[in-house]
Amino acid sequence: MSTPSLELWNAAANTPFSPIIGKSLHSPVAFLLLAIGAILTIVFSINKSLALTPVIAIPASIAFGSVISRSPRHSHIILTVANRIGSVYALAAGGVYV
Amino acid sequence: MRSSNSRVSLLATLLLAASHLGSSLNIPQVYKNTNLLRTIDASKAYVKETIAVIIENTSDKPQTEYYLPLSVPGSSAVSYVECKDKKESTPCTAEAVDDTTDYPLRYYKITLPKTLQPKDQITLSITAGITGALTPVPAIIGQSDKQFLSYTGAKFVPNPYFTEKQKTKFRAANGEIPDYTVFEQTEKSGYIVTYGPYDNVEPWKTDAQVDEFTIRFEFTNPIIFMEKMERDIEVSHWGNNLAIEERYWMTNNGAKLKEQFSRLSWATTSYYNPPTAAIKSLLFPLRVGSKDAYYTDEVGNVSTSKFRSDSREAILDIKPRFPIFGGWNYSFVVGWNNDLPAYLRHGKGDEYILKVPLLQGPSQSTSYGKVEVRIILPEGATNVKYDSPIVIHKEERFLHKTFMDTLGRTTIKLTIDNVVDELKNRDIIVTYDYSTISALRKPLVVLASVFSLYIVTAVLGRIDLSIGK
Repeated sequence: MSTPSLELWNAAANTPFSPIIGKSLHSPVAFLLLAIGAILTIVFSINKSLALTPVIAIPASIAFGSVISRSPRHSHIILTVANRIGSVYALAAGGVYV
Repeated sequence: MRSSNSRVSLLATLLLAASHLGSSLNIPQVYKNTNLLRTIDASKAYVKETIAVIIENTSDKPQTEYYLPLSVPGSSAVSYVECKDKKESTPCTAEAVDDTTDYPLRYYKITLPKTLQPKDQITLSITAGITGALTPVPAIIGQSDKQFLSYTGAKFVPNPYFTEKQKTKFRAANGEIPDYTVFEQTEKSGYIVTYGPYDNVEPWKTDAQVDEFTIRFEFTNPIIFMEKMERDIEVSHWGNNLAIEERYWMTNNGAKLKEQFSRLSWATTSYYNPPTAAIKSLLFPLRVGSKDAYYTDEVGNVSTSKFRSDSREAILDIKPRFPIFGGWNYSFVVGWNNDLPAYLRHGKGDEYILKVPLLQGPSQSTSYGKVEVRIILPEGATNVKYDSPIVIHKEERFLHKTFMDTLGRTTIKLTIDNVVDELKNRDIIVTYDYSTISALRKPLVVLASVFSLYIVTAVLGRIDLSIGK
């Protein structure tokens, strides 16, 4: 097995990992996307037309999917609380480790 | 019948002797040690033995391998051996020889940093960490008594080559050394006991009588021993986070308590903070930028901890629920987060390079029976390679399933036995490939499941379940 070395690390000095969204923005972005998802879900639940799926259901799904991935990292305690509040929030908090 | 039995036993003895001879190490006499200085540092909870030796090639052929034995009697064991050319600081490799016939010696084959020509000399500095070599004497002490440890070693440094001049220095934790063996040329100065110099010491012979010295010295500090430590290093690209969690099973290998623990006596003396053989607190110096530290045990969160993190340092100071005296056990968990960019870099293409400390642990001198480090990479990471700063005894690769995983996260588990804290804060470098498609797996899975839910509700909503007109 070839082993990577310190040179490889040093060679990549100019390209540190850059996240799409910084840690401080996790919560607001997650909240915004979750809110969009919730509103679109309500709209869709009022008028469950198949014609509306591309307009409402898909953006809502994307919002939910993104929320889970961009949610903040919480400790176990918050996660436990979140689990009790509701499954959606739990998913958001669980997204921590994604 | 009797003669048949005795013949069998004689044959067995001969076979045993033959097998013994066959496996014993045959070291060619190609060197002499011009000068050898052994320093035994017992100021920590384990022994650090340093051998500085000038070796000369006395053969007529160039040599590259030098054999060095370390004495590990009873329950003591070698944790690590490191070697370098003392003048040029060039590292050389030390490899354990698979031969235990010469008890209590454990031989190491040292590959010299350069080929040693006939009559040439080289100065080697060999450092070894040895655990289990210190015994509390007396084995039972009072709650506020001083603790004394005892060390026994050979007067002459075990070495398979002729040594022109050798000396042993024993460094105790402080100047209080009530007992030590006195030979000719023995000197005690402060906290150091010196044996030698001794001239023209013959090569070590297994059967020869060995002169041993015993030193008993004060060590009123806990002997912290982690029977097991599990360390998780979890990388999250989406979360921009490096999460580290350490689970410890700790014990104090110091002298046991003579009587029952007195809480009153403990509370009254703790005001003037006397030296104690109990573990009162542990200080974890973390890397700068560490945050969200937590300290829990089986009961739950332990509030007696302090965490300070600023631009210069990050220190987690924990106080267990009770002082841990000799023979007492305590298990606990500590964890913290770091921002990922300081530890992860993007290489060529989909390659990522991770550089994290393999071991951290408390600042107090500590030894570990078994360490298991799990490096949990993102789900879908492939082609994982690593470069470890210390010898790994066992490696496992598997998928670790946790929140929102479909396949499971790529994980490598590295097991290291008998570790001392001298080896901490060294970085392991891990490289892996992680494509954008793999990164999008989680949101896409959630998207698909939520969207299918909408479709199902839309379809179900169109079913006319009303009773006929």
